Amino acid sequence: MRIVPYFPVFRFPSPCGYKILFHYICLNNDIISPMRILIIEDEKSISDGVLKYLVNQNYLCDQAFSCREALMKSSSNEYDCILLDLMLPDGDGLNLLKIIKMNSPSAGIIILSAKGTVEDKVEGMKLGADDYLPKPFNLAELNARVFALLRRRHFKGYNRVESNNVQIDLLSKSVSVGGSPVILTKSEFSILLFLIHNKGSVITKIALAEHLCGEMADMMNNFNFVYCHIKNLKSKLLSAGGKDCIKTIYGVGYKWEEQNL
Amino acid sequence: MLVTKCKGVALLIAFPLSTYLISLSQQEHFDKVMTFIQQTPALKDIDLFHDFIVVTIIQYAILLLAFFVIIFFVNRNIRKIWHPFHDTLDKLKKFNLEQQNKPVFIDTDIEEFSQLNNALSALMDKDISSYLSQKEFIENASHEMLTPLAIIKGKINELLQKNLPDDQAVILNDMYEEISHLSHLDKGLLLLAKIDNRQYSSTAGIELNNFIKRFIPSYECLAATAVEFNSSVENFTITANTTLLESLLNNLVVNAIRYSSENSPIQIILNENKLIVTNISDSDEPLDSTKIFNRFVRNNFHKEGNGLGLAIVKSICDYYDWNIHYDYASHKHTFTINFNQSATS
Repeated sequence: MRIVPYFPVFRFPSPCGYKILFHYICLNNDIISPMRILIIEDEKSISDGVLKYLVNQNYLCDQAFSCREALMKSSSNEYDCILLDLMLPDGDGLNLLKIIKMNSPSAGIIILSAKGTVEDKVEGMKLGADDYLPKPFNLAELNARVFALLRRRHFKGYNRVESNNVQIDLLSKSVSVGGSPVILTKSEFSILLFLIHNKGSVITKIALAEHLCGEMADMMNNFNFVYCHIKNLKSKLLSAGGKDCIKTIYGVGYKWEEQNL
Repeated sequence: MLVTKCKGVALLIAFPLSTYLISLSQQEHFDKVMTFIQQTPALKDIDLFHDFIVVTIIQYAILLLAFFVIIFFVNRNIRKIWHPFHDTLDKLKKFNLEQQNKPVFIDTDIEEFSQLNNALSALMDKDISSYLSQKEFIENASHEMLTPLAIIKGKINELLQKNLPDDQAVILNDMYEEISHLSHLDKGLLLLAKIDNRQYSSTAGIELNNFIKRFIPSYECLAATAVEFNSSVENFTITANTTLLESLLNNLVVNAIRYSSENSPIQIILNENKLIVTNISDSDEPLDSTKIFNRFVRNNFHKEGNGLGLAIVKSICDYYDWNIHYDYASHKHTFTINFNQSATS
């Protein structure tokens, strides 16, 4: 995936912007200077799973398993994004959120919580969290949220995603294949973006369904509607001259395969 | 009232009765004195009996007056004495466990009342602490359930990334879907428990037209058919908890989507005080209206869903005293919610 800047690139107002610009120029030249993410989560296997997935997506990740560790790491390093579990063994996550927000205001914060109560969500958002993902979450979904958050916070000018000759303009929500526009429905657009964000990974039908409809997807027992959307999306991309990049994994789900052009 | 009447009757008969009793017990002496007086010429004119009656009346009147005066003052004092009790009573009526607003009782010199207040304080402390610990338990239980589920889900997802043979991938995917259902079930039960515990006390005014319109795209994405929304009221606001209303609507509509036949639209209709959701099913068979709202009751033909959807709907309706009603007429299933008193349009 490449993020291609809009033309007048040097319009960044802040030094932070230049840093990110630099970062992306490097990324485009395949010199990896990834964004830094801190994973604050006491459950080691969850933390490891997240770490593995995000490292695969070229992020640089650190882990913290307690409030103390989280405070230490967040004060000594600068992170672009912090994933925060609200239930930690040695303190309340909301308090921690307050302190982190004060120490490093530039970091975007996503709350990961099993509590799932709206009060917590509202409280967290009030304290400055940017997003909220209830457990058990799907890693592909988390990855998409992290990307959306980083884009919102840092790359105001960068609204393009490109893969396999498919260009997506995130601002106008339009898609083109090799320059010729393709008209997609809202669902097809979000499926496409979701697959491209998680390129190379198998995305289960449930994960796609949850991405499209949130909690409501859980109430359905079959996910044929995902199949319908994928079918339409594939045929639209093909007829616009794109390659068949959406690979069907039998019985499981789908995968976006990036081919070297 | 009865007591007052009895008092009056007692007072009325007290005078003749006492006179009679005195004269009865003193009859012998009285007769002797009368005889003695009548035999003494100088005292012949004295009507002792008359005097006796008069004196008794005066005495009685004074007694009665004193009695009323005392009653008057006691009555005035009694109000002052009972004041702490009434104060406690008022505060108890206002006590709400969900808000944990433990009242502070006024200090009183009266031993019994201060004991009562202490006992009540202790009781409320105990109530509040057990309420909080129960709430904490529910949250922790759900957390403890969800964490292993999240781990299993993550592991299966990781395994699915490997290039597995088709048959193994299908088995893993089935496991993955079951885990998703399990976590949804857990969340559903948690929601029901919280509604039963009345933990959704915060409310807001919600304009239903906009509220429903927000979800239509998601419903359409889920449904193979169209989802139509018709409203005959411009501005319809109800007071409810946003989460609960959202849950109510989602469960009701997704339930309709699930059992709907292809190519027949699902209708959501908003009327004066009424929300109606209809869908058309393939099979011509009504649901058992006595059982559909029970937990874990499912249609024999469709073993879909986790059996909690309509139970949650019913539970939320009960919580707000809304009336939910199921109708069936040739393939058409209709759920009607009547927001009678709670609504203001």
